[in-house]
Amino acid sequence: MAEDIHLVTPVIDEMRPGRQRRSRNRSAVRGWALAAPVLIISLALFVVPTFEVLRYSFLGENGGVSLERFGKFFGDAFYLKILANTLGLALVTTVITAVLALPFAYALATKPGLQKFQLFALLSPLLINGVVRIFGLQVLLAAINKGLLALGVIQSPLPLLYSVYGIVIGLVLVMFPFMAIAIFASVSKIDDSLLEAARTLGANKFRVFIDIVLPLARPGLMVGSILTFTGASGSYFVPAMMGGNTTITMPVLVFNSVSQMGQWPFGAAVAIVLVTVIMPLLVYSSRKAFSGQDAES
Amino acid sequence: MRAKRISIYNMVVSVVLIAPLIVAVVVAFNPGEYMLFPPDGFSFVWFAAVLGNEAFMSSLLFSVQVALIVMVLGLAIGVPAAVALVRNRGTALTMTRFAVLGPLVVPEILLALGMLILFTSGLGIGGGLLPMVLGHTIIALPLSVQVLAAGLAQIDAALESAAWTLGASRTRAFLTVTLPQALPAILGSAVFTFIVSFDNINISLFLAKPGEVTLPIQMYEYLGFRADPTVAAMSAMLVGLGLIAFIIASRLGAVKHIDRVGGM
Repeated sequence: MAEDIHLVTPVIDEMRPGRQRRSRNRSAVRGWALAAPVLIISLALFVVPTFEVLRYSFLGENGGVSLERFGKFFGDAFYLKILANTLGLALVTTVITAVLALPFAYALATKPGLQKFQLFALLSPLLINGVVRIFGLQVLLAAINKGLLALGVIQSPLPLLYSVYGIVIGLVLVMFPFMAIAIFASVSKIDDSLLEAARTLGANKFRVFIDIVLPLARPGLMVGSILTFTGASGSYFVPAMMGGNTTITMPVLVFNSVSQMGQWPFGAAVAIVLVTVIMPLLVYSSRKAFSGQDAES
Repeated sequence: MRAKRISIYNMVVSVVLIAPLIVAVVVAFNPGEYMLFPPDGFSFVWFAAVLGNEAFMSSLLFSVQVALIVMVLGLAIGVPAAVALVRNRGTALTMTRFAVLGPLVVPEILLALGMLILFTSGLGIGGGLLPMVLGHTIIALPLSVQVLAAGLAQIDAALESAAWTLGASRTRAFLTVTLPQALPAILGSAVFTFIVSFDNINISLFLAKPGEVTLPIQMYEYLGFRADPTVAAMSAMLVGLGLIAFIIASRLGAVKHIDRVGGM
């Protein structure tokens, strides 16, 4: 989408008959005027709040600027464990989602049977709020446990709910569409004749996948993995609903600090720690976004 | 015509992806107090229960109210921003891009806390309708502007310049030539903005206050202490609405942007 903008801008530039300075100035003024509302609202509701969180995180117990909140976080194994949990869960989720989504996206591109149904299944859940989706998942997992118990396959319920496994299942379910679409954007561009040539030259399906599909799917895998990792580490409701207090993550800690304990500056410090840790990924993805390249291509 | 090949794996994955939604809908028809799957009967009791539940109905109303205002505000800010994104150059373009895409990069949870701090200590109003509307707007804008910009970029700029070469004013050329062609993109962006607001969890969680709670948060809090199929009945209705939204979005050719809607 943003790519198209690049294609069109030069066309408009050529079309502009106003080579004279006066006309150019007028169009520049018009450009700033059009951008003004979004610039103002972004300054007020994105830049200012971000700095407010940063400022709060450095508030001392008795006012002034202090590192106390960060000291409290990094000085306590309990909090460090929460950070490790969050990153570990995000990493495991990203790996599982990538492994599941890669063959899905590849088949979506190469075996287009019932493609409309597949796209519907992939995209329609995104139009329904996450609480409903995770609620459905809870009931489904409970039913699976009950079914397996009744069949005598298992003796005691599997720890699918209110456990660290539950969180991973929930995160994979929520993040799968993002990963699959990012990979699909890459693999759907693969030239069929490449695959044809490889097969003609004697490569089996597995070799074709490893040697041709995988390298060409890499950009999509990268984008999808960043989306999944940042999404999973920033999710509040999945760990809150699927974890049942067994595993606390950073976003849950932020919310609990603010709402239950009234410790806003500590909550702010936790949010800043989370953002700082995932910053390299955020910078990478924003560089892609700002360079005018569609994040998905 | 050659039959298209079907991937079994993809069929299984597709079914798993929609299974939680189907389960949530089916459970709503349970006659009893418990969320049994499969249900042990068939009844509409819980639909009646949720329609008569004051808390659910008032938060549904509040959510719709917020989403409609966000939709209008989103277009009022988003349409000029999209035009700026397509036509600006240099510093103006860089700044516009930063303003539009920036909020996408920072985790919602941080923005939510920042806005809570701003609205509480800065403006002294805490949460509620206005903060909620503004919070949802900043979250929805990146998507809405990108949908609009993609739509505008496909329009032949030569048509608009032809119009003003032939004597129409700049404004008139835009309003009568470009805008009508951009209508599908505008409608698509409006639908998405509504959904982003209606489904948001993180911002709503921080900016809710008693009596002004959005539906997802109401459902989440209800599930925290009750486990009867009221939430399932509400979910079933939302899944129905989601299906309608999906059909509208695909008619508008906006399906390719849907993956940006889902909240995390």
